[in-house]
Amino acid sequence: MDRDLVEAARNGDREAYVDLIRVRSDRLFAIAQRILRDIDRAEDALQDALVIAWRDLKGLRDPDRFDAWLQRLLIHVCIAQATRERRRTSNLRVLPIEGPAAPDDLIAIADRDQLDRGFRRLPPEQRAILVLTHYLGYEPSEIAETLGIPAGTARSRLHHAHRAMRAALEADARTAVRGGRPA
Amino acid sequence: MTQQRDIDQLLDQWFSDGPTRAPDRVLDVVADRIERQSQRPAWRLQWKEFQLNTYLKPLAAVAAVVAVALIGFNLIGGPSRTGRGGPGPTASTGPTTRPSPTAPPSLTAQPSPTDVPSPTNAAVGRLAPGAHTSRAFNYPMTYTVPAGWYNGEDYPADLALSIEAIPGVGVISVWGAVYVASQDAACTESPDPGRGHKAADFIDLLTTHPGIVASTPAAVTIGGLKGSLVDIALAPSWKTACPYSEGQPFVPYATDSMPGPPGFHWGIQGAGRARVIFLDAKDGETIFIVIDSVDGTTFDTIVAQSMPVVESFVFKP
Repeated sequence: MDRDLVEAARNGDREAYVDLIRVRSDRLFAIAQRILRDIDRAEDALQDALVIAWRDLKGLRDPDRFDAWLQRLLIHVCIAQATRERRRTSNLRVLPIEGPAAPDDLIAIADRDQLDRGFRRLPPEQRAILVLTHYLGYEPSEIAETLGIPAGTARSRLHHAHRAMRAALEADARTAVRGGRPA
Repeated sequence: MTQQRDIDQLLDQWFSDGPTRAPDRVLDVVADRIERQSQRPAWRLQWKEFQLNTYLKPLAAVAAVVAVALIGFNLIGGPSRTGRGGPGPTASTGPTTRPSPTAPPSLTAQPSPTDVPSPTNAAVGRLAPGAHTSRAFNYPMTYTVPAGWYNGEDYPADLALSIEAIPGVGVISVWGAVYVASQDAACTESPDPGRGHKAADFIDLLTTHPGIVASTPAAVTIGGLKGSLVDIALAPSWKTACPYSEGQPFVPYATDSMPGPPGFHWGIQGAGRARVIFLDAKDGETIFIVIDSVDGTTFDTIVAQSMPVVESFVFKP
């Protein structure tokens, strides 16, 4: 069924293309939001990716690869957008959370805050690798294929991303202790 | 220190939270935009599937014309790719050293038809057979590939080439300005202060490290630079893990000059096998070429296919 839709869309059938993306947009949006950590930017990235995919669909030789192709396209759009955003905000310093110590029932929220800060500091490609790993459950070989990088590089970058996230959590914890706010 | 399992669980949970539904307007906007967007013809997109960077778009038409001309040139009996001498490297010893074929000049920078920008990765994507030139790598170089090769990375710090028939597997990685990695118990991602960073310093580490089984080093000259080549694997007796290797034995051996992540930190782990080549660059730094087989089983095949490509490298002054 989808193969027929892809073929029809490749032949210029816009309705077929919209039918194709209708059932995929939620998943793609979720991926974009997790890489970009911003609903509006995720929406923009998804729209851009879907328009580019329409424009370049004739270049997809194997209709059965539509999903992988479209997902790869979206991730590259997200990385490009995050890179631009990172440049704009690179002079901003991320400050530790101020305020009273988080009570136990808010620890999960504090963790999310720390994770969010650490994640935003990562290079965009490492963000994508973390999303592919922890949201989509990809193995390094699948990440490598998605991003067009060697598997060893995917492993290395995943390792660095994990290290950076751990470092972010630990730095925040140290900040809290130095500030007299027991975790 | 936050343990790997903890960070895995935290990230799994963190990513599972969050929106899972796209706003309804997304489809409306896209439907409206594609009404005004025509599709590009397939001939401009033949390797689009593998290439998402935007470079030299204005040259698309020119490239297409040149491609047609090249096809015609080959059809009417242009020079064969085999048997032509070229500025290939020579290796004084080593398991795979053969003359480097030099292909006729090809499209070194094929245009990508997409609008997806990637300001840092200047990789070409799928490579046409023939000679290509790096675009962003700090040590400008040319390389020659047969059909079926893919350039996935061309960053200032590194360039990566892989074989499309082995999807997702990194085959050749080239890194500039590498340093011997610290050998402390914490596997610190910093240069080893007790060692230099010439090719000989790496070879000294790899051939004396108790965790590494290394072949006899071979002197090589690649792309006009002298250095050494050695094949390495993890010693079966080596059980020492790094904090980040999830309990698996690991030996780091190369890193960049900047302490700590993010950055380049390379080692050997598990059943992996690698051919590593260290070249003394003219600026006093060391260029690191690694032909990597992650599971070791593909090592011989990968090396056989990769060495002619490595031997075709020419580093520009």
